[in-house]
Amino acid sequence: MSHGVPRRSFLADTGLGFTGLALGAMMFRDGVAQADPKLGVESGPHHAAKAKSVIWIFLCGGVSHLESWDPKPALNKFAGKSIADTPFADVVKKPGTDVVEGNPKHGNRKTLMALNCGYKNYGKSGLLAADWWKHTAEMADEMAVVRSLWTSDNDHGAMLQFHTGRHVREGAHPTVGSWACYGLGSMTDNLPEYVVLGVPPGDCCGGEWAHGAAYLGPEHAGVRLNTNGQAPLPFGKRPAGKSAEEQANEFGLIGKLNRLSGIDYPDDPQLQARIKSYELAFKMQTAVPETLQLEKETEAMRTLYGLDKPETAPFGKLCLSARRLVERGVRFVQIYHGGGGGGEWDAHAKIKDNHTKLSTQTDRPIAGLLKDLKQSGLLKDTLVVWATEFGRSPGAEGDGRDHHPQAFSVWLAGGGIKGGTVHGKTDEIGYQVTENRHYVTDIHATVLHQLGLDARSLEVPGRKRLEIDFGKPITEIIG
Amino acid sequence: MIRLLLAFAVMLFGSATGFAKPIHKQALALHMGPYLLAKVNDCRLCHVPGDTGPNDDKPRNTFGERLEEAKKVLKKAGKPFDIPARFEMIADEDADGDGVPNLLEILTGHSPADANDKPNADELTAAVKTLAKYRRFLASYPWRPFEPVKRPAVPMASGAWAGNPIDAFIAAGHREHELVPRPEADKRTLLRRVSFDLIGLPPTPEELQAFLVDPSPDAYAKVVDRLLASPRYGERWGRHWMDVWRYSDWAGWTDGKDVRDSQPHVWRWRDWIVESVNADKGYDRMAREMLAGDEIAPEDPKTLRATGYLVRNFKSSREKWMTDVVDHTFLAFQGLTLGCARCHDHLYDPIKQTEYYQVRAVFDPHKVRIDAVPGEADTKKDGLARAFDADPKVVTYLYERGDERNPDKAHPLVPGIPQSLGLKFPDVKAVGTSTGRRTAFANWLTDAKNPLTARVAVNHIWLRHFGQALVPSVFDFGKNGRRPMQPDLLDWLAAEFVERGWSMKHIHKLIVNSRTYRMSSTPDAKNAALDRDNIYYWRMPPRRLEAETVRDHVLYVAGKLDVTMGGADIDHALGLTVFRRSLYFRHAHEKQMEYLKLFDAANTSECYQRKESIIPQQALALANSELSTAMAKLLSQQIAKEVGNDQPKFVTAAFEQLLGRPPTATEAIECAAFLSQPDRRAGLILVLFNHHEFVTVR
Repeated sequence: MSHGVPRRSFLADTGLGFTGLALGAMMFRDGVAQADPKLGVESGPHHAAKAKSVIWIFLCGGVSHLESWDPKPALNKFAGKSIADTPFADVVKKPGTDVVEGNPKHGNRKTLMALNCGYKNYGKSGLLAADWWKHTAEMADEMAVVRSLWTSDNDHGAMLQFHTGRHVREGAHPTVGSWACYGLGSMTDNLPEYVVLGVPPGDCCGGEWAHGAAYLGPEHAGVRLNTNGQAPLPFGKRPAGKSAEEQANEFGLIGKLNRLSGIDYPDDPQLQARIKSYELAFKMQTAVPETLQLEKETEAMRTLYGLDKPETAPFGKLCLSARRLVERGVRFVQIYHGGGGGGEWDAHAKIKDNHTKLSTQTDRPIAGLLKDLKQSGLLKDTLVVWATEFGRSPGAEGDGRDHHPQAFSVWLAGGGIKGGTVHGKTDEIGYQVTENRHYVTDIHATVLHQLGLDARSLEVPGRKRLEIDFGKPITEIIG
Repeated sequence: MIRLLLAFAVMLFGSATGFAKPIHKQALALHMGPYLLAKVNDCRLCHVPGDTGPNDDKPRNTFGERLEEAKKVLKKAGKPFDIPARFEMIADEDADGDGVPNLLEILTGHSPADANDKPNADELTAAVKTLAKYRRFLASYPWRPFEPVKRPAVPMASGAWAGNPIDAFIAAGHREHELVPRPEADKRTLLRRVSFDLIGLPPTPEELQAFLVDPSPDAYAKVVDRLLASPRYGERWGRHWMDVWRYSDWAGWTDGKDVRDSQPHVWRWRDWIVESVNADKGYDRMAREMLAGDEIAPEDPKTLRATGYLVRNFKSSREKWMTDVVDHTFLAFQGLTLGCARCHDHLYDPIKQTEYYQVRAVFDPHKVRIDAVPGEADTKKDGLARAFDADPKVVTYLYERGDERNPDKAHPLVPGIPQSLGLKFPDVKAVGTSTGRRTAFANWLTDAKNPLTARVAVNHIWLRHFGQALVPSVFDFGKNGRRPMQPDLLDWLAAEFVERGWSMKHIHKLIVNSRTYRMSSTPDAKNAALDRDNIYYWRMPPRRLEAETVRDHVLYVAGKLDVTMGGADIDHALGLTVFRRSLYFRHAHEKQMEYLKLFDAANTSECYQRKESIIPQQALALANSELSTAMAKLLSQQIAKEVGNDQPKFVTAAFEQLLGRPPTATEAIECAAFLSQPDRRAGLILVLFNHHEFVTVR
């Protein structure tokens, strides 16, 4: 069942040396099909790709769907009332078939809270969006908003779940980014195929597993890059007096010896990852500092991403770096915002302060990214995803909102996605999904589909994947 | 419809709307294991839709009704009446009268309460086999982490797998799963493995030679004894425990005014850990001294150092501080996510919210301070960071929904512990001005009958010997954690640990002398097809060296590792130019050696298990750092002194020194070709620093 999956055979590369393996990887590039020497099947994408790269923006802690992409005027009308005393009393009675509150002590807040910001229609499509996201919403006609996501974990392990499809209790599983890279291989020799920017969730909630590769092997895991201009790559400078050629010779011997040491350990994923890491490391010494030289961008461009203001600059740098990485052939860029612990967006109290502050940090940079990609034409084959682990409760928890895994919103843009689309629906107070429910892996399947991969064909012999892992592409939002 | 996962057994429909209680569903799922098929693992197995009844429960179908009646019968008879007991009582009944017993319907994925939904003839035939397997599953050793440890009988084993009880348990798993264990590793591999494992350093070429030529049957056992007696052992395993106990140096910035995570001078606690581990002080004694050293030995500065464990939790926010103490003490010593009960009763484990605050009451009176040490009156320059009870009269209240703004003032709480763990909280006796609460708590924690303490500790030890734990969720032994595949082995080790005075060295010896530990790590396709993740230990898992060990290794092979022990934390910025062992450098938030961080050093806020990543930045650290360059140059000069201009001898010596083995013929040819250009000897050493095997233990 592994049709189409390039399997870089370790032994097949033995003896080819330093350049040999890189050559092997290059042949998968741009979907060039290649006979897999071990399996004798065709490798590469499964069908024509619409997108080459993905920029995956993940906001940690649970962004209110009600005050972002699924505003509910009814909340203002019925604010202060118990749900039971509104015309929507039924929403809490309806169990749904497979929802799910990991923890009933969280959620279920019954007294409705008014929206904490305004909302209006945007774009030709008239997307209803909240004021906290007014800059991004201007790009409505590029975006497909999905308002009908659900997840099963009502705690922040849902962050990991959003990336693997599995409950945190099940441990590490391959993430969507690692599947994309596993399935397609790299488009660049100079940079990691899967780059991670920003701070990941805390260990409570999956930690580095949220960009890990689990059984696909560490070579497909995301590589964190430090966007701090001072030292973007620790130990990134050759020792004084050592020429690039000299180091290339050393790295060449390292590669040869490592391959020889694999005779007793064929297909050892650690060894394979180590070999690849040396090939990459050599090139990264020049490529990473060059890529992260944001000062090379024009002032107008820097302003577009919000680098001119202290509150938007940190996240703006990540977004601008992501564009520069994608331009240079990085397959999957995962940007975290508000990571560490259970995530900064987790506004159990003072949601107004919390979401005002955090949306200010992110709205302009994200809008800038979309505008920039659109202007430059990169948006055509760059798929941008905006996501969070769950929504927040329509009912109040003091002056905050609680976790809400029953319904939440994400959006996708570019990479062949049908702009100006709203897909899925929730009830009048945003409590339950009423149309087109989607589990998180449907987003994975959609992303992989746009990259030319069929989620169902991504399997590794001896590793059972469950029905729920694969998801189904959301065809309604595909252009 | 989306198939439900077992792990989604937590699904429920909100307590107020009420449907099946998740805890009931989960109890059944745990009881039946893989034999509860997803299609019937559903609330509808026992319930029908309808209005919620008085017990916050949905109405039941005929099968659910019988379960409820079984409860009454069992209760009356004074028998256990939990879900598994009720279920087994009515397993052979036929609730829907369709001629198929309840259990067979469930095993075949049909409803026991619907006469129209029953297995066909083929399914029934297949079910006979499933039933036998299910019965075997039920009879297998139960995992009951909340019950006191009872030493299980050791299974029969033969040949090399008899003798050491660990092997007997592991061999039983091999038999059950038709696995053929790998042969014993060769002597070079074995010595390198056990040496890194016990002292965090490789054998010297001389030590290796001595071992290779020692034909005596106890050659290996002698090596183990030597390594356990080495002071390097305490540094290696002390660092492991520093992970579990969250060691952090002072993380403040401005001259002691800005105090974060810890007080200055907490390094004395690190030294206490290393010394205690070296002295094989009982784990129970160590726990008591860390939690209550100031009450146990108020006048003994050596023991007071141990309370660095409490000092470390310090935060300027008292609430966060107290939360950290309570939560992490339970994660580290009990493998329980007690923290969930801060806002509400624990959803999975039998822990009440009030009990959370009773534990907090144990710690509420304490604060931390710095005492002057002899010879230095200025506590800014040096001092003894320690805990003490500052406020014996403090009253602890439950916070409603965990919100400190809403204390439940009507009900002051006394110190206590979760009752479900089966022990009473000992009487609290004041010690001088100290409340004695922490002593009472420490005595409870280290009581031989505490069900979790020893289990959690031996699991941590096992993890660090094998790179994989028996209970994979090392900080969660509760229902939300993951079950061990060898619960009998874990219980046996826990019982052994307690009976041998909580001696860690005793457990190390048992483990590293076992045949299980001494297996080769080479792969095997047939075994891998049956047990891809090596859950049943058919081979030794190969591992990457931990961060500290990578750095120490580079220094050690060049003969430059400074083995001076103890003392104040060394500036982390000096990590590449000061050659002390890595554990002695500053380890605090934003003050950690970059080199170590790249190799997955412990996160300073919590690290119950290290990760093993492989990223290009590690390659750059080993290839470009001044540490590598300097040590490569030194080592090449040292080897040159021995071998002169003989290139093949140089290559052999370099391999022996760095990888603990001679080069193969092909490797020798490649290296000779590399050395054919002038001035490349240091380059070759650098290449070997970057060899996969240099950072790998096989």
